[in-house]
Amino acid sequence: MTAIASLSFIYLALPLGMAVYLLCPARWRPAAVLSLSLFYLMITHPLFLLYMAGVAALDWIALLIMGKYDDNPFIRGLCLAFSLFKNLGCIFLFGGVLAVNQTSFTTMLGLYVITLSALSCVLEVYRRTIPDPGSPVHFALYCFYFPRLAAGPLIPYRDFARQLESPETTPGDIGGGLLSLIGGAIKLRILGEGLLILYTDLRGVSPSDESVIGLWVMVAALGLSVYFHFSGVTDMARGAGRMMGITLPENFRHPFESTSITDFFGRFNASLTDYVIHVFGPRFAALSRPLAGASGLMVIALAGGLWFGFSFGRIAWGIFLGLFLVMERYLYPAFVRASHKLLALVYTQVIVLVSFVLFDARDFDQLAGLARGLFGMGNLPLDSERLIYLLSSNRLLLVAGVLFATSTAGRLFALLRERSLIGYRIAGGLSGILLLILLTAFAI
Amino acid sequence: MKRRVCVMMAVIFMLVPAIVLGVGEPGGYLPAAPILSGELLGEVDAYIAANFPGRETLAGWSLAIRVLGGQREYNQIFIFGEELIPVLDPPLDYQVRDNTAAILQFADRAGVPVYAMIIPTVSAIRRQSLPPFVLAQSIDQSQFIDDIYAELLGAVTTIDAYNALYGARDQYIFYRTENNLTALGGFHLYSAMGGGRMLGTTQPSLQNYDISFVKYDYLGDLYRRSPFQNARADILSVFRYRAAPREYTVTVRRGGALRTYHTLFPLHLLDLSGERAMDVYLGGLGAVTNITTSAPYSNSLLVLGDHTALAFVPFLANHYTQITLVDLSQTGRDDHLVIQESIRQGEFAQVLFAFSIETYMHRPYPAWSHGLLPEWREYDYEHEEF
Repeated sequence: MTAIASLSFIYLALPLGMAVYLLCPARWRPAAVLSLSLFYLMITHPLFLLYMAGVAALDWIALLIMGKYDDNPFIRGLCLAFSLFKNLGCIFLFGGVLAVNQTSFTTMLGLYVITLSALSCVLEVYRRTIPDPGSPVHFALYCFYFPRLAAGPLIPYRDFARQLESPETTPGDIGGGLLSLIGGAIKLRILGEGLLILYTDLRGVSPSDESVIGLWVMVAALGLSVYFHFSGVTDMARGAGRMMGITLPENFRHPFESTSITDFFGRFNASLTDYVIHVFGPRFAALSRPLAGASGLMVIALAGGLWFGFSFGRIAWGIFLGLFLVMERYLYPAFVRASHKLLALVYTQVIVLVSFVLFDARDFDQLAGLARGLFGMGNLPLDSERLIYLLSSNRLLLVAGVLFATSTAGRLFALLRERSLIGYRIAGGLSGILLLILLTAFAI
Repeated sequence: MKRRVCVMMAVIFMLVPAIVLGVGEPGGYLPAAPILSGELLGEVDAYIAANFPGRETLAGWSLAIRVLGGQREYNQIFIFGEELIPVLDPPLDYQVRDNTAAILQFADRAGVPVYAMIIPTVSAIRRQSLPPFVLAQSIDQSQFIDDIYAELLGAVTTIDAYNALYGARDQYIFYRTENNLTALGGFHLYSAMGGGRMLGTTQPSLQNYDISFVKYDYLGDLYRRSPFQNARADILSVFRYRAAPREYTVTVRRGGALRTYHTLFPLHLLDLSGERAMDVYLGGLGAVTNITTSAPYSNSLLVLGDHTALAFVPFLANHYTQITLVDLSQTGRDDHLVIQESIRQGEFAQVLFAFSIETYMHRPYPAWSHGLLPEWREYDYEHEEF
């Protein structure tokens, strides 16, 4: 579903969709956006749409039953249990099947988004945070809103549905949304894919070309690539949403500026962390008893790993970071709070970098070999000719990667906005045009 | 937002696809996949990319940014100074084995002298002047060719293209933007044949040729794959034999159409063919190209080759009354039957296998020569494989 970054989406589907949206009266806009989303899903993933429509329809039936038996806690509980088991079952069963069959990764994320969204709605009705799900169009749009299916972000139903009552947009929203969408596509197609190629090249070097620095650059390239892929896709979803009057939460808040692993989870795929906390209750992550609290933190971390796929590496990645979450909470909380920012930054980034060694690992042997090499125990040279060639061939990409993984560009724009609103708007417009040209040049 | 503003913005949005699809040069295939196949979007994407207004300029900018960022390899092509050098992937062992076995079988059954020439690429011939990153990813082509020639020894006469080209490595023997030899490169290959037993002539001299430069701004297939703005355009030249003027008739069968030219170098194609300026040599590479010459010999030659043949076959035309050049990647059943019959009738006095090392390493075309032997009955014409 990264079809959202394709030329056909940007130059065909999006403009035509926006035209339809703008010409529709406000009350018809959710239905129009839903129709466009379903049509786009139909031509990209027809079977997937059919299957997921069935899955979401069962949740809608559960919601109707809950509404009808509003004063019967047993039936309401039964509906919630059904939705919980059905949706988590879908994720584990089909997520596992998709992983085994190596089916499109983005299809798997689509499955996650739809099932978790449907579950969230049922849960909110059960907890009475909302009286009822309202219009079936709103519920269907919440589950199938196309730009969100590529990787989220996840959002509580009440926050999403509230915006659909009378969706409104302004030229400023359209411009800002477009800039966010193009910026996201650049992150995905140029930075994310470029760094993934660098990672693949470094991973594929012959044993005689392996080196310690090469391995560190390799894991850094993987970490940055994952970040740019997912933050790019969510930026696009947020941009498309903003253009259509739907505000979606920020999902990646410069995670490579985190000063603890706890902070990292609040910045990296943050909507998933929020979702897990939302599902299990607001006090879930702050449980006072160490064992229960540690279990809660491990669930958050494991969910973070499983989001990227059902594999040894992803699960190990989640567990590894989860252990640091637990240790930060119960073993050395004072260190995390009191340490100097630079020290905290170095501590966090070293752990995050090392965690990406696990991310793509296939088994323990491979993992052990990589770890030995990284820490200079594999009799590897410091660098190699191949590494120097690859570094020099990708120098601009690496510089841009490091620059855009931090908040530098955003801070510059904020500074400009403070000084001159007109200058900020001109800079925004020009950046949008230049980025669109750049994106098109790289995509054709 | 006011209704009027909404309508105005909607009109602007509707103009975007109209401009993108309407302004660009027509190209690519119209999407034809059924709507529920899941493949329609990919086809639409490919269509938009192929038709996008200013496509070539944008592709050039993209490559310029990549080069500025340090990238020296794009689309399997190294960018080196003003030159584009194709990357040569490691050989496919099974393919090499099949190709060699087929040539040996052909030599065993053809009943006429068989010659073989494997032509190295620019990255091997100019290895001393190329940067380490190109060499690090290249195999030792000289050793590869020696190994193949050792296997062919005794059954096939081999032609040492490597040393012939290596000796002329400082000359303009490979195009900068096209993955082929220049006419001068072709002349050096021809010299290698003349010095051996194939032509039985003395070392040929460039003085016997009138050289004309017919195009100065040619940007070839490598440039189209990797449109590096600083690449230096190529010069196309033709070498006309002046020592003993001859008349030539060239018939080219390609894609079912048959074209006839009364010259080895149909210069008028330069104006007509746009990107296919290389058609100026023998009218381009067809499935079967027949060249008849008013030469005072009665020799005939069957050449089984690839694109490299366009560089050296014009020189050979002076030594044979009939040359049949076959590109097995394009031939079909009818072509095979005609050539089979010619071989059965003993119409060819010699057979030359001449392939670039890339073709020999990665393509099955030399092995497909099985289909040309009269006694070969198990060839599957439907699937074009054994």
